[in-house]
Amino acid sequence: MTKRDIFQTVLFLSILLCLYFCFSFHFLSLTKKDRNSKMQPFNEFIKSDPRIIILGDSHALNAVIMPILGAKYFSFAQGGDNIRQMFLKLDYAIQEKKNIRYVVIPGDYNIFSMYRNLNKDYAPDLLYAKNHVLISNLYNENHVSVILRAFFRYAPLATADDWEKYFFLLTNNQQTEESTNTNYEHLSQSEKEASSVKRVRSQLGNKIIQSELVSILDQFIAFCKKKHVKIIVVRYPFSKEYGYYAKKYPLNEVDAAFQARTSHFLTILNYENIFFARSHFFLNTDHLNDEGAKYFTEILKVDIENAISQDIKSISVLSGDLRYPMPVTKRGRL
Amino acid sequence: MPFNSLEYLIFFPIVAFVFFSFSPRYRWLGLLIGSYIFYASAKPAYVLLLFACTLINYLAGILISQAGTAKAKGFFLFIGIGGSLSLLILSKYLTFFTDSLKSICPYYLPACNLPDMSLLVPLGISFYTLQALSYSIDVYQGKREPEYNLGIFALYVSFFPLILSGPIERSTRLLPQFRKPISFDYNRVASGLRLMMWGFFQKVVIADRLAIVVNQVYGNPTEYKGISLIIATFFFTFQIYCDFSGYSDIAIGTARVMGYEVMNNFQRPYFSKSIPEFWRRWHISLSTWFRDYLYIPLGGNRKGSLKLYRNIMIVFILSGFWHGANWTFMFWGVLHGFYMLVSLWWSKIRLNCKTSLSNEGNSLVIKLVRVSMTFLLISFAWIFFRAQTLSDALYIATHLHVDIWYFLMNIGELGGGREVIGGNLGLNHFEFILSILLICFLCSVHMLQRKISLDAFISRQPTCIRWPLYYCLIFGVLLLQKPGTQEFIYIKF
Repeated sequence: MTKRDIFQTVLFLSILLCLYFCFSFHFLSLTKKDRNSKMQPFNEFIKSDPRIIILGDSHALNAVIMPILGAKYFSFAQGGDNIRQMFLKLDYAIQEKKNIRYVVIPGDYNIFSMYRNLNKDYAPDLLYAKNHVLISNLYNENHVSVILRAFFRYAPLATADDWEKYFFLLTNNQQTEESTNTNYEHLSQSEKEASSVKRVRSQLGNKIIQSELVSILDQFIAFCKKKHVKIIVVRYPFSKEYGYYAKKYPLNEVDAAFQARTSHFLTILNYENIFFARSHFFLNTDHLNDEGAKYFTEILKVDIENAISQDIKSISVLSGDLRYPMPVTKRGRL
Repeated sequence: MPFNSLEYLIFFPIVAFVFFSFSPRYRWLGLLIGSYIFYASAKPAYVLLLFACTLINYLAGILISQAGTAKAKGFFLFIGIGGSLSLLILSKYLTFFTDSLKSICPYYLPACNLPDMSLLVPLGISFYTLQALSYSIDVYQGKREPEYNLGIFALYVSFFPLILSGPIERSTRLLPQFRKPISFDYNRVASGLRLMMWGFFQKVVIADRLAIVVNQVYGNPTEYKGISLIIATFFFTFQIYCDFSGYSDIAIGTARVMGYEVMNNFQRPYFSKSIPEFWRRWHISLSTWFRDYLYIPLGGNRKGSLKLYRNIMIVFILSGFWHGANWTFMFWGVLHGFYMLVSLWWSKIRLNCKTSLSNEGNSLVIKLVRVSMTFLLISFAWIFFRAQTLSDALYIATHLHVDIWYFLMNIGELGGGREVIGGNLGLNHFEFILSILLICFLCSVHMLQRKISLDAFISRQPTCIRWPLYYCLIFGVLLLQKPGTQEFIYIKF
C-alpha cells in the first residue's frame, strides 16, 4: 500500500464521516419536534402530582380524555405499548413521585399476544428510563448492550430504524396503513367486517398467550405490591364486529390468566361490549373516537372512584362471554 | 452470520486484517479458522456435517488417485459421491421423502414416524456438497491431482464467502489459488469493495423492498387476484435476481478483497433471448456444474434425440429438486425442462425453414419480442418456485387474468395505503413507485453492462465522479434499506 493509497483512503473516509455528520445534524433538526413530543408526557408528569397512573396502548390512549379525569390522574398510554413499557413507565413514575397509589392497566385480549410481544425495541424507553437493570431484565438483553443502546440514543442515524425514519421524513411519507382517520360508522357493513377480521387476526391470530408477557405481568404485580400500589384492570370497548370475530379465538385463555391473578387486583372493569350498539363512537373497529372517548372517560372515572372509595374487590367479570358487567344505571346514561 | 448483518460487517474486516497480517505461507490457516467460525456462528453442530463431507471427499480423492484399476477408481468415486449425497439426503430430503410416501400410501407406512428434520437442514449444504463433489469427480476424470493437505482442502470446501450460497467453484480453479502467494493490492481491494457495495445495494435496497409485496401476496395468495398477483410475480422475478445476484456479488467481492478470483454467477439473465441462453446466464456456477458433471456424463446431445430430451429433463428435475425438498421446486424444474425442449424444437424448425425470419433475427424488434417472451416465461415459472405449496401456485397461475381490465383501468389506485384495488400490497404509494423506479434503475445498469462491466466502468471514471458515486451508493443503501433483515433466499437451499 503506497503513501498515496493511504492518503486517498483517509481522505475518502474523512469525507464520508463529514457527510454522515451533515446527515445526522439534518436528521436531528427534523426530529427535534418529534423527540420533544415523545418527552412531552414525561415533562408534564414532572409538573403534576397524580395518585392514579393510567398505562396502556392505543386503546387506552384513544379512550381516555385526561381533562375529564382531572389532576389526580395521569396517563402514560402510548400506541404499541406492551406490559414491558408499562412496567418501565410505572417504575419511572414511582421513582419520580411518591404519591402514586393506583395504576390502571389494560386487560384487553391482545395484552399477552404475539402481536403485543413484537414491540421489543427499548430505544424509545431510554429517553426516560434510567433503570438499565430493569430494562435488561424485561427485554432479556445483557447489560452491556443496554448501555450501548443508551449511548446510541445520543448518536443520531446510528441504527437502521433511524435511517428508515429519516427516509420517511425526507419524503414526507407516513405509513398510513392503520392510521386512516375515517369514522368507523361511515364504513359499510362488509367493510366493517373486513377490517375487523383483519384486525382480530393480526392481534389474536398468532399465539394469543405469550408466557413471556404473562411472567412480566407477575413481576409487575410483585413490584406494585412492594411499592403499595394497587392495580385496576380495564378492558376497553371494541366494536360488535371485532367482538364477533374475536370469539373465534381462545379468549378464555386470556381470561384465565387474569382470573388466576384476581386477588392481586383492586378491581377488573370490563367494558368490551358497552358500545356494541354505538358504532358512531368508534374511530375504527377497536379504537374509540373523541365522542366515544368522552362518554367512556366519564364512565371509567365514576367506576374507578367507586372502586377506590370502597376499596373493595369486585368479582372478576372477565367472563369472555361478552356480557355487560356494569350497573344498568350507567348504561342508561348513554 | 448472513452477509447483510452487522456481525458480518464486523467479522469481515477482522478476518481480512488477520489474513493480511499472517505470513503468506499460513494465510490459508487463518482463512480456514475464519471460515469455520463463520459457519459455526449459525449453529456449531453444523460444522460436524461440513467436516464429514470434507473428509469423505478428501479421502475419496486420494484413494481414487492411488487406485490401480479403473474399476477401483470408480468404486472410490462411488463411495465419495454416495457418502456426500447421503449426508445431503439425510439432512435435507429424508423428511420430504417419508412425508411424500406417507401421503401416497398412508396404510403401508403408518409406523414410520421419523423426526421432523426440516428445521435442521444445515446452511449451505447443497452448495458445499456440490463443490466437494466436483473435486472428487475432477480427480476421477484426471483433471487434477488430489490435494494432500487436508487443511487446504477443508478451506476449499468451507471457504466462507462461498459456503452459504456459492458460487459453486471448481477444484481446478479455486484450489490452486490457495497455494499462490497473495499480496495486498489496493486496486484489487477497491474493486472487491465496489462489488460488495453493489451487492448490498441490490439486496438491501431492491430485493428487500420488493420482498414486502411478494411476501404479502404470496403469503396469502387466495386473498388476491389479477394485477396484484401479476405485480407480485414480476416483483419476485426481480427480487430473486437482486437477492441472489447481490449475494453473489458480495461473495465474489469478499473473495476478491483477499485476492481470490471466483467465477461469475450472473450475466444479465433477464436480457436473454431464449431459455437456453437464460440458463447460460443464470446461476452460471450451478448450471455449468450440472452440465459438466451430469449432462455430459449422461451422454449430452451425442446419443440421439430421445436421450438428449431425457438428459435435459433429468438435469432440470434434479436442478429443481436441488433447490429444496418441495414439489413446487420439482415442478419448477420440470417446467424449465419443458421450456428447454420446446426451445430445441423451435430452433430446429427455424433452422429447417431458413426463411427470411432468420435474417430478421437480428433486428431490434425481433430481439425485443424474444427477450420479452423469454422474460414472461421465466416469470411464470417463478410462480412455482416462490409459492408455498403447489395448490397456491396453481391458484396464482390460474388467477393472473381475473378482472384484469378493471384493474388496468384503476391502476393509479395501487399502493395507496387503503387499497381500492388489488388488496393491500404492503407498500404505500410512494414506496410502490420507488420500487418500480429501482427496477428501472437496475435495468439501466444492465443495459450499461452490455458493453462494459460495472466495476470497469466505475474504475475508469475520474475521482471527482467516482467518489460521489461511492457516497451515493453508501448513503443510498443506508437511506433506502428496509430494516428487519430479510434472509437471503438461496441460503435456505
